[in-house]
Amino acid sequence: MVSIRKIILWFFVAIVDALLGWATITLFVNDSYGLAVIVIVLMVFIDYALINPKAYPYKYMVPAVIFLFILTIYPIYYTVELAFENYATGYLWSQKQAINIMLNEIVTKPNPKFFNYSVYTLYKDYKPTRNFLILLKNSKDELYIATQPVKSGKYETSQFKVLNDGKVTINGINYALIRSLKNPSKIIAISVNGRIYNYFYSPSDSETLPNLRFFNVNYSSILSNTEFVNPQMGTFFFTTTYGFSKIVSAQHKYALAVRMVTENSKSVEKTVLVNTITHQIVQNHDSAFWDVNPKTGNETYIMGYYKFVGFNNFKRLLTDPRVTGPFFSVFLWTFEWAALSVFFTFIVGLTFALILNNKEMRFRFIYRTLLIIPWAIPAFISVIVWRIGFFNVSYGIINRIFLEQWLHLPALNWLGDPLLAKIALLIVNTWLGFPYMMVISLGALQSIPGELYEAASIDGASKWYSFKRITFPLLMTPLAPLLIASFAFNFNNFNVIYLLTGGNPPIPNAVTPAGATDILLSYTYKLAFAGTTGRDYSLAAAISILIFLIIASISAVNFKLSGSFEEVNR
Amino acid sequence: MKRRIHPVRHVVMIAVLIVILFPLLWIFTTSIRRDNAAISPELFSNQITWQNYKDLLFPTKNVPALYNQLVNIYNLGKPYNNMSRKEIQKLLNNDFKSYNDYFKETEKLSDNISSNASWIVINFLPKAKNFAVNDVKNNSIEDMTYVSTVNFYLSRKFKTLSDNYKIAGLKDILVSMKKATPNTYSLDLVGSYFPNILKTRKTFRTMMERTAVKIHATVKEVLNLLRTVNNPTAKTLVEAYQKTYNSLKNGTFTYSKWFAPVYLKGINLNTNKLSGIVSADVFSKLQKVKTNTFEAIGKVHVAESNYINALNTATSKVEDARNDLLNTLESSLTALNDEYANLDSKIKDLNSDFSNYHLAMSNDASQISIFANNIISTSRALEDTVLIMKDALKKFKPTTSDTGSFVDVSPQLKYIKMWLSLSTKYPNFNAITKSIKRIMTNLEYIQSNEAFMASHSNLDAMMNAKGALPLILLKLKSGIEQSLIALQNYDSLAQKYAEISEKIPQLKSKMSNISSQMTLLQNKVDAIRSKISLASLHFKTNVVFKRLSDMQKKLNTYDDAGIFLATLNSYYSTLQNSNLYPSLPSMPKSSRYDRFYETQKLDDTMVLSIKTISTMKKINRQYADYLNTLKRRTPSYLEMKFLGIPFSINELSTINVLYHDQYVTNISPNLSIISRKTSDMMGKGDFGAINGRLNSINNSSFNLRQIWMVKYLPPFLRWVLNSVIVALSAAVITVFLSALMAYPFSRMRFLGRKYGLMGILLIQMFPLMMAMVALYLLLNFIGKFFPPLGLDSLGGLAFLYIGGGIAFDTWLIKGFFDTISTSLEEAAMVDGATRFQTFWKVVIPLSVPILAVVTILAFVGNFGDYILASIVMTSVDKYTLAVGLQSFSTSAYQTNWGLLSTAALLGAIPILILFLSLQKFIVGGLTQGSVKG
Repeated sequence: MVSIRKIILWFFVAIVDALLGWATITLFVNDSYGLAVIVIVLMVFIDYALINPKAYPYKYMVPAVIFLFILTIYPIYYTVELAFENYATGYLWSQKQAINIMLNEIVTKPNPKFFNYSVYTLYKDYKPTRNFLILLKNSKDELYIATQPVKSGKYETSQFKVLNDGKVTINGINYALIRSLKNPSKIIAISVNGRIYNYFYSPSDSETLPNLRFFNVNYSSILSNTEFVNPQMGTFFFTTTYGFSKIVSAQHKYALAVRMVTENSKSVEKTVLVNTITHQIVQNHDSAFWDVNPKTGNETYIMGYYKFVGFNNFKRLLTDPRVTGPFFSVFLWTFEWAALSVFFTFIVGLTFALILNNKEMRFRFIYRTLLIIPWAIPAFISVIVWRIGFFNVSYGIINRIFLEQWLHLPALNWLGDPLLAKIALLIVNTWLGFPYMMVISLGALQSIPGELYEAASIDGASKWYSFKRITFPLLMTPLAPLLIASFAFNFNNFNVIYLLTGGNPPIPNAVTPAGATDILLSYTYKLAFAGTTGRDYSLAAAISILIFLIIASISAVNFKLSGSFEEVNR
Repeated sequence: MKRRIHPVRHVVMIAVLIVILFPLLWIFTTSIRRDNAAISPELFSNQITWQNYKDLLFPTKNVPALYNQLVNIYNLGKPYNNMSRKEIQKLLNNDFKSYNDYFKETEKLSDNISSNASWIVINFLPKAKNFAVNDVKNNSIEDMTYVSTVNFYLSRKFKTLSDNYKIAGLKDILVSMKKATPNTYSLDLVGSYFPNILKTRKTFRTMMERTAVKIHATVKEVLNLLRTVNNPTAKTLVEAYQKTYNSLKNGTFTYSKWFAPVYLKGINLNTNKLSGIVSADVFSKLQKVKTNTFEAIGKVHVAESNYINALNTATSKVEDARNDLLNTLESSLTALNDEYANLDSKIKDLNSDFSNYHLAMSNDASQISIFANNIISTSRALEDTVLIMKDALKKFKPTTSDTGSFVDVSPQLKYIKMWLSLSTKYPNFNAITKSIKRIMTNLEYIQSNEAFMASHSNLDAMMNAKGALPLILLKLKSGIEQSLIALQNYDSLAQKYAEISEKIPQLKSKMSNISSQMTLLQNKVDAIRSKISLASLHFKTNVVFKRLSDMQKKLNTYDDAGIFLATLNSYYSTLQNSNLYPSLPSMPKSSRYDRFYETQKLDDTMVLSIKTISTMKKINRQYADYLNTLKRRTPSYLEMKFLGIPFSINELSTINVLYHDQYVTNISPNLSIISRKTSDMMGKGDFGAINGRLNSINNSSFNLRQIWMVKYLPPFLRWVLNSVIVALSAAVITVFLSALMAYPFSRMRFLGRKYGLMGILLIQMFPLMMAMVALYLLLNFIGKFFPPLGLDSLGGLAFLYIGGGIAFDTWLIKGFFDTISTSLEEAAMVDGATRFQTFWKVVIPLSVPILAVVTILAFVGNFGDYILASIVMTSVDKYTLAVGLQSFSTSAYQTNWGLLSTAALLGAIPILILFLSLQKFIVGGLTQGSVKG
């Protein structure tokens, strides 16, 4: 019995290890070393937990730890890594990938030869299939047959041969043209060992236009990656210069070659990238590859790649004036926003709590339930309603009905003016957040013993005095950690900011997409995903780390206050 | 200690609650509004519909949507490209069936509208019109009083005017008389000043009447003559005579404009044409009639010309009077104006010169300062050289016997003197001037001691100096010489500059002088003009008053009332535009005639409804016809399509054209007008009797539009479903995994427990969204190998939520497990249960309620997430509700508040109910303040 169980266990472990091992190898192949290391650590942990009988408690944790490692620890690690790289628009490839891309680049030869082409396809059940042929025709009206492209390495290759008297044999397969009887210049089909391929598409024939969609979906991706080879005529490609209307004699723009290079004032032989047109060595500096013009010596940018840049991103945040300006205004507003949000929600919430805390008050449960509603509606819904229905400049009812129609005041540009946008945000956030403050204040108020008030009133203390001296101090003890947590929450309250103002209005003259009401998190989001001039993932990651440090220190204070650290030790 | 709660507290609470919950109230009322809330001036509307809810929850295809589907089916687009013929035929039949239902519905609604509208036109409007006329009759008394007051007031003022003004004020009336047939009131008025007009008009009138009688006879005669002739020409001829007669009888005769060119020519031409057709006898008679008629008309023409001449004479007299009053003043005003403009342009020129000079001067100055750098450095060299020389010569005394020349510094000195003579004027060159003065002293020293130096030139120092000096001097010379040019230039510019700056104030004072003269003149002119316009207004009021009071006496029909009000309103607007208006008593309110205007609106709307609906019916029938044809031909069309033969289906394009040309451009706007106006009128008290019918018209037109208009509905249900799938699956899995993980932390002691807990505490602090870049790239990477967990997939998003929730939920559940007593587990273990069994069979059942609550809270949290969902989901049908609603609210739907608020409410209510029912737990502090807030 025990042995069977053990066998099953070992079998299971073997499967898991095989899977994770495969994942590790795949990750290494894809240059994701960080994730690979994480997977290895995970594998060791799982093996240990499953095999070692002493590791019994760890068995419970295995599934959760898998998620934690992949979705929390790895992203944190990756964010840190990103923050020290220059991963941004223009630098989205690793050096290896960039070289591969360059090696794949195809350029038309000087004085290129052309072929016009038409596609012939094999029909099955009256529907075109993925079997097709290409008929090529050059400027002298000579006809060539190109075979169906076959995958070979990274490319598809297709051989083509000139037709002799309408017939040709390639790789032992016989191809023969079938011409229209009415109009012999039209080739309506090609017979391939007796199977008939029908005329399907040609870019110069508008009658076949209805088939273009099928062609685009099924053939063009293959054709755009096809090398057409003929021993006498060289290689041909579809190049971007002519769209998809012709195939052109072309070549790879860059190739690897061994050249003498001066390195540390010594001449060494090295494999380098060479531009096949200018025969110049491709330069590699400043995290990018550069073409050299042989006449002038000028360098032109080809493509960038990302690499480790140390503290550059943090330096940029603190010293580059174009980044620093908007960053500091965002930074400041984030603090203002969080502090004012907590302040207003707490004031309003506490007021309601004090009113509702009276046991003699009738309907207090109903009042409380109704007052919780703003908190209970998903924030994204209420914020959108506030934006569209209330604060919109031309349609919103605050401007259109309350201000203009009822009070005869000029309309306010609520979401377009920096100050008004901030006010609007605080109004909405107070509306959304006061019920939470009310609820926690009510809880805390109920825990204050009534005898204290009785004693105070016997001593002749006024209501205000007893609030100041009894209620408030006793409230703050349980509420302080919650207020700090609320501060931390609002510090990252992306939903309200992004859905109400989108961080707008934009800060004038900023190079990064920063707005007057952006908080750090929404600014990060914009940097990474919404930049109109380009995405700067690494700068975003650097800011993420700053946010983390701030939140972590706030939370540390909070844990100290709420005793979470003691709970760990219990 | 019990204290009663004052009721005021409840009142305040309720008021505050209304304010706080107002957005919710607004969402609800907006979601059931029928009109477009985004542009309506009302905050709430009494026009209610549940259409938005139907559209979002049970979307059905209306006519244009069906059309789009048909087009797609016939083109065999996705997803129809993989269907069999049978399936497609079945789909089409369904579509045709729903089409038929819509056609029937349209017919029904149209009938309803037109029957109601006709009922109102036939049974209600006549009465309403009667009421409205009576209303106008009663109310017009007040207007007449008002106009007569104004008339009295104006005529009193008018009497104080001298004759010239009075006559000049006649201009407007004379112009209006020339334009159209004059009314008697204007004639009388003008006649009192220019009796000749009255006289000639009278002659003209009698001539017209007399001739009319004559031509009446002529018409009869011609008819008689041509009775037997059945020819279009004859008919036209008789018609021409008849028209001639009519125009004379009505007094609308105007020879020059169209009478002569059209009618007379017609008579002449047609008579000549008849020459071969009728007998000679008749023809000669016709010719005679024609000659007689022409003669008679000729006389009328003469009378008319006399009248027009009289009018022209009067007009020129009026013009003269006006010119007498204003001409000289106006011309001198123009002259002054010209002079003013002239001066203004001069000053502008000077100002531009001024700034040009300024620019040139600053250029010169900067040039000088460039040279100055050069000069100053050279001057130091010079000074040093001179110092060396002085040093060398210290031991010697100049004697009179010293002779010879050392160096010639006179050219430099010449330039320097010229330089200094200019530069001392300008304090901004002080620095250079100072150093140049120093150069001068040095040079003067050399010059004065030249002989002394020359005699000691054999000294080493002197030899050196002699070698160095020429170079220094050369440099100095070129520097000073060249900068001198700039300086001279600067000097001349400065003089000009000073001249101009003197001139400008002179010109300006001249200008202000002129402008004050102009104001004076303008005031005079304005005074005269206002007097003339007083006279003019007086005349107008006079005429209008008489006209209106006549009309008011005969005010009987609805049309009379309309004309009366139109005249009155046009007079009132003249009055309001006149500059005398502020001094007049205020007008009676126009709202007194609301009943009439409302009736008019009702009338217009009903007429529009009947017209629109008849077109609508026509279109409906045509559409159905085309569709029937299509249905009949469908099998053959499908046959061809399946063979892959490309062709376009004629019926579909015809239908498209019909829809766009007729419905979109024509009916749709009319229907919305009808809808709006009927809903406006429904509230009005006068139409209480037809409220039901108006409501029915309103309903039907709204429903018609729902059937026919193009709607763009968001895939709302899809979004909600996505949200629920992702949020719920993530919440369940998260809580399950967290409970598993929390158990050993709570019950067991093992290596790494403390640091594990610390780690979890640390990790749950790190909001997942901060690693959004990493998560995005991670999903992108995973998606390459396993698409269901990649970007733009529900699985991928749920994956992220699970990862983000585990740490927090583990911490939460661990805290709860700690509160469960271990005695039950111990008992179970004693009974032989394994550790896992105690967990699974004891701990979990005990904590089911709390796990459920945590699951629901996690669900609510995931449901409300926007940031991660917006990063992961890119295609519209994968959106979660948060992303969908946001995209929906920023696109063209921004003003479609009905749909937006409905979607908002439908999305909010389930969560609201969940949340409120969990109040107990939330208030209990379970959430530890991190769920929301």
